[in-house]
Amino acid sequence: MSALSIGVSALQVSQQLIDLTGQNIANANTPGYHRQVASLAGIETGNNTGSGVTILSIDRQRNDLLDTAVLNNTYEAQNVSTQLNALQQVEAYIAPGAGGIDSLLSNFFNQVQTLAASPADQAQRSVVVNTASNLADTLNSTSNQLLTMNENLNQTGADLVDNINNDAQQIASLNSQIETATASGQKPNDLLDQRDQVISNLSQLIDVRVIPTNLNQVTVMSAGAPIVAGTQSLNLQYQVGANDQAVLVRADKSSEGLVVTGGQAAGLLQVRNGDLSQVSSQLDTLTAALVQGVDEAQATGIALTGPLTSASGSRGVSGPTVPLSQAGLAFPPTAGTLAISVTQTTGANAGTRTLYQVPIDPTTMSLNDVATAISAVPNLTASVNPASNTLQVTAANGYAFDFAGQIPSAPTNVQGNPGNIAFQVSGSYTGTTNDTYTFKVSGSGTVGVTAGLTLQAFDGNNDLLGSFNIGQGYQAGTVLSAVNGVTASVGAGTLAGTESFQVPVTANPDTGNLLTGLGLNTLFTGSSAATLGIRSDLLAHPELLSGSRNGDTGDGSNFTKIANLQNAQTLANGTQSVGQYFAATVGDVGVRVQDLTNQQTAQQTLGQQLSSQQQSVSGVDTNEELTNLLQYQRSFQMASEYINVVNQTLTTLMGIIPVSSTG
Amino acid sequence: MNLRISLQSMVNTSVYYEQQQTTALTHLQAEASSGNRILTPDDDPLGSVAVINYNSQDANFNTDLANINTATDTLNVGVSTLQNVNNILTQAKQLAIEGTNSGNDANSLSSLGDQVNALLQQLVTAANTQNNGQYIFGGTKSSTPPFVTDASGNVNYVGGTDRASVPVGSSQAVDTFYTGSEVFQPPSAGSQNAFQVLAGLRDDLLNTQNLSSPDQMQALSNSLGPLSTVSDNVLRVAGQQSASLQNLSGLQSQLQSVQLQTKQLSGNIQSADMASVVTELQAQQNLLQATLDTTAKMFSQSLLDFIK
Repeated sequence: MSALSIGVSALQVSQQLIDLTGQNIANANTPGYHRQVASLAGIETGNNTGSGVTILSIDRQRNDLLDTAVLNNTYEAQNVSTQLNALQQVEAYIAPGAGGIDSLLSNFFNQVQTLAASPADQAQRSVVVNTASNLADTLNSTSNQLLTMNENLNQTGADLVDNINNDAQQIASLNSQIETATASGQKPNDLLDQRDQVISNLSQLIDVRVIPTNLNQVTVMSAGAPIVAGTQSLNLQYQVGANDQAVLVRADKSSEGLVVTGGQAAGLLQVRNGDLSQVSSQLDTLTAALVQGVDEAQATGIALTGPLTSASGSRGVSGPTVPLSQAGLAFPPTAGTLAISVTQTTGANAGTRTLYQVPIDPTTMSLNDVATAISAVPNLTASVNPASNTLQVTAANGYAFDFAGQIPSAPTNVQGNPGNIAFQVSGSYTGTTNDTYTFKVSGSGTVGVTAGLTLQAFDGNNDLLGSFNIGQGYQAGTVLSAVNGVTASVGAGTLAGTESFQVPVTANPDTGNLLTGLGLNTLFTGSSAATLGIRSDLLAHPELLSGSRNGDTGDGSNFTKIANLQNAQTLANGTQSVGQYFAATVGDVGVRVQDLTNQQTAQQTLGQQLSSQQQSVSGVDTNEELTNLLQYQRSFQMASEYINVVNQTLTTLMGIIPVSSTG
Repeated sequence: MNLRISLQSMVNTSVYYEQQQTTALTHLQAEASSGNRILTPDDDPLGSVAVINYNSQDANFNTDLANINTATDTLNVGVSTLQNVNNILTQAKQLAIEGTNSGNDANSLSSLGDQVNALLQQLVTAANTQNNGQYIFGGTKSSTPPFVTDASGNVNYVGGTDRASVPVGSSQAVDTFYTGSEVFQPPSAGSQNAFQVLAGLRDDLLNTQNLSSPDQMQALSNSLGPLSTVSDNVLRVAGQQSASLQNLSGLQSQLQSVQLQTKQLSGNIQSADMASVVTELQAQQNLLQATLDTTAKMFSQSLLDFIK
C-alpha cells in the first residue's frame, strides 16, 4: 500500500531534516560554513494523492556577489594593514624628540657654537667630539634597524609565497575531488565549503579572482597569473633583483615580475620597494650633506696644536691608478685647486710659511698622480697606502702643513727691487673669492721721506683696491691699512718705482673638495648613515678639532663656520637644511601612516557591513534552527502517528477477514 | 536591512565596536597622561614637522643666549679695564702737568718720575688682563700675555692681529678680544703707543737724557699731546665695547621674546587640550559601557531558555 510508503517517506525526510538541522547547529561557529537548506518536493507517480515527500537537494545558502565583495575587501584590507604595521615600525625608528636624530643633530651644532666662544676649552672640545660620536652611532643604528627590517621582509615574503603555493595546491586538489564527486551526481557541500575557506585564506595573502568552471571547479587568478586552473596549480617565487627590488614571479616565467594588487604580498612589496628604500636613502642623503659640509670646514682649519705633521685619508679609492672621478669615491672631487701651506717649525727661520697651489683634475688624475703632485711640494711627501688605497701626507722633519689657505709669511713674485727693500705682508684675508693681489710702487724716492710715494694694491682683474702713502709722513716698517684684511708694510730704503710683489689670497683653499673626498683631516669617516663614524684619533685628542683659521688658539672662527652649517639650506634643491630635511622625512612617514590608518578604518567598516550581509545569507541563526528542530520533531511525531493510524486500519481490515476455520 | 542575524554576526558586531572604543580610549588616555596631542607623528604630520623645527630653534636660542652671556662677561671686564687704563693715563697727565709747574727741583721731578714708572707697570698689568684664563687684549692669541717687557725695559705687543669673536646667532658674531695694538696704539701714522708715551714721560721726569731745564720742561709739555691722543683712543675703544654691550643686551631681550613666542607656538600645536580630552574620555567610556551592556543583554536570551 502506498499509504505506508507515504508515511515512511515522511519519517525518513523528517529524520534527514533533523540531521541537517543538527549539522547546521554543530557548525554554527565553523568559519566559512554556509548553512544548508533542504529543498523538499512531493513525489509524483501519476496517482491523484501523490506518494509522499522527498528531498530534491541540499544546498548551501550563499550569494556570489557578496562572497566576491568579501574576498575583495579582505585582500585590500590586508594590503593596507600590512603596510600600516610596517610603516608604524619605521615611524618608531625615526621618532623625533630626545635621543632622536633631530635633537642629536641640533645638539651637535649647538655644542660647536658654544665651543666657538672658547675654542681652547679642552672639556668643551671633548663634548663636541662625543656629541658627534652619538650622532654617528644613532644614524648607524637607525640605518641598521631599517636594514634588518628589509631582511625580515625578505624572509616574510618567502614564507608568504610558500603559503600561497600551499593554498593553491590545496585548492587544486579540492578541485579534483569536487570534480569527481560532481561527475558522479553528488553535491559535495563540505568539500565546497572547505575550498571556499582555503580561497578566503588565500585572499589574505594575495589578490584573488575566482572564476567558476565546469563541474563545480574554479580557476583562481592572482596578480594576473592563473595560480589554480582545474586540477593544476602554478607556483610563485619571491625574488630580489640586482637593484634590490623585490618581485613575485611565476616559477615557469621567472624573468617577468608580476603586478600584485592586494593581500599581504602587495603590502609587503610596496613597503620594501617603496617606503623602506625611500627612508633609507633619505637618511643617506642627510648624512652626505652633513659630512660634506662639516668635513670640508674641519679639513681647512687649524687645530689647537697648530699645523699637522701628518694626515691619513679615511676614504679609499677602488684602485690607485684609476682616475679619481671613476674611482668609486662616495664624494668624488671636482676639478679645482688645493692650497697647501707649509710652515717651518724649527731653526732660525721658524714660522716661515709658504703657500703652494696644487691643481687637481679628477678626470685625468689618479690617487697616485695626486700623491705625486703633493710630493712635488717642498718638504712634503705623499704616498698611497696599498692596503686601504688611501692617501697619506707627511711633512719633513722641522716642517708642518695645513690646508687653511692663510697668506704666506712673505710676499711672492717680488720684482724690480734693485734696492732689496723689505716688503712684508700679514693679516687674514676676509674676501670671499680666491685671487692674487699685486702691490706696485708708484713713484720713486726714499721711503718715508719723498712726498708722493705710494703703494698701490690691485686685484686679479687689475682693479685698484687701495692706494697707500709710503712717502713723507710714513714710518718705514709700519703696517699699512688693510685691503680685505691683507696688510703690507715697506721697509726703509730707496725705491726705483719698478718694485712690485704679490700675495695669493685664498677664501676657499680646496675648491674641488678633494680633502672631503679622500677623508684627509676630516671629522667624520664613512659616507652613509650605516658607515658614518668619527676619526679615531679625534676621540682621544679633541685638540685636533680645527677651530682656527689664522692659526691662533683663541680663534674659533672655523667652529663658527661649522655651527652656521646648521642653517645652510643645501638639501631639497636648496630649500632645506639638514634639520628641516629630517623633519620633512618624519612628516612624510607620518602622512603615510595617517593615510593608511584612515584607509584601514574605512575598509574595516565596509568589511563589517559585508560580513553582516554575508552572515545574513549564510550564517546559522541558532534560534531559527531550534525552531526548525521543533517543527521537524513535530513532523516526525505526526508521521509516526500517521503510520500508527495506517497500521491500525490495516489491523482493523485484517480483523474483518476471518482467519482460516477448520470447517 | 538584514533580516537574519546569525550568532556569528552578533559576536562580530559586538567585538568590532568594543575594539573601536577601546582603541579610542587608549589613545585618549595616552594624551591625558602625557599632556601631548601628538604622540606619534601620524597624529598630526604637519604639526609634527612644525614642532621638530620649533624645538630645534628653541635649542639654538639657548645656545645663542649662553654665548651672549659669555661675550657680555668678557666685554664688561674689557670696559672696566679700559676705564681703569683711562684713570692711569689721567693720573699720568696730572703728573706731567705737575712736572711743568715751576718750583720743582730735580728730586721732586724724580719722585714724579717714579710715580709715572709705577703707573707704567700698572698699565702693563691692565693690558694683560685675563678673563677666565684668556687674555682679553691679545686678539686671537689669547692664551699667552699679549704685552711683554724686554730686557731694555721696552714693552712690546706680541699678541694676535685679528680680534676674536663669539657667534651669538646665525651669521651674527660679536668681537670680544680686541687686539692690544688697536687699544693702546692710536691709528694715526707715526703715533706712539701708550707704553712708549708713559716711558718717555718717565724718562723726561727722571731726565735720563740730561736735558737742560727749559728743554726738559718743553719735553714735559710736549708729552701732554700724545697722552691725550692715547687716552682718547682708549676711550674710543671703550665706547665701541660699550656699544657692543648695548647691542648684546638688546639682542638678548629680542631673543628671549622670540624664544617665548616659539615655545608658545610649539605648545599650541603639541599640547593636548585637557578639557576636551577629559570630556571625550568620558564620552568614550559611556559608549563602551553601552556596548558591553547591550552585548550582555543580547546573549542572555535565546530560545533555549523557553523550550521545556
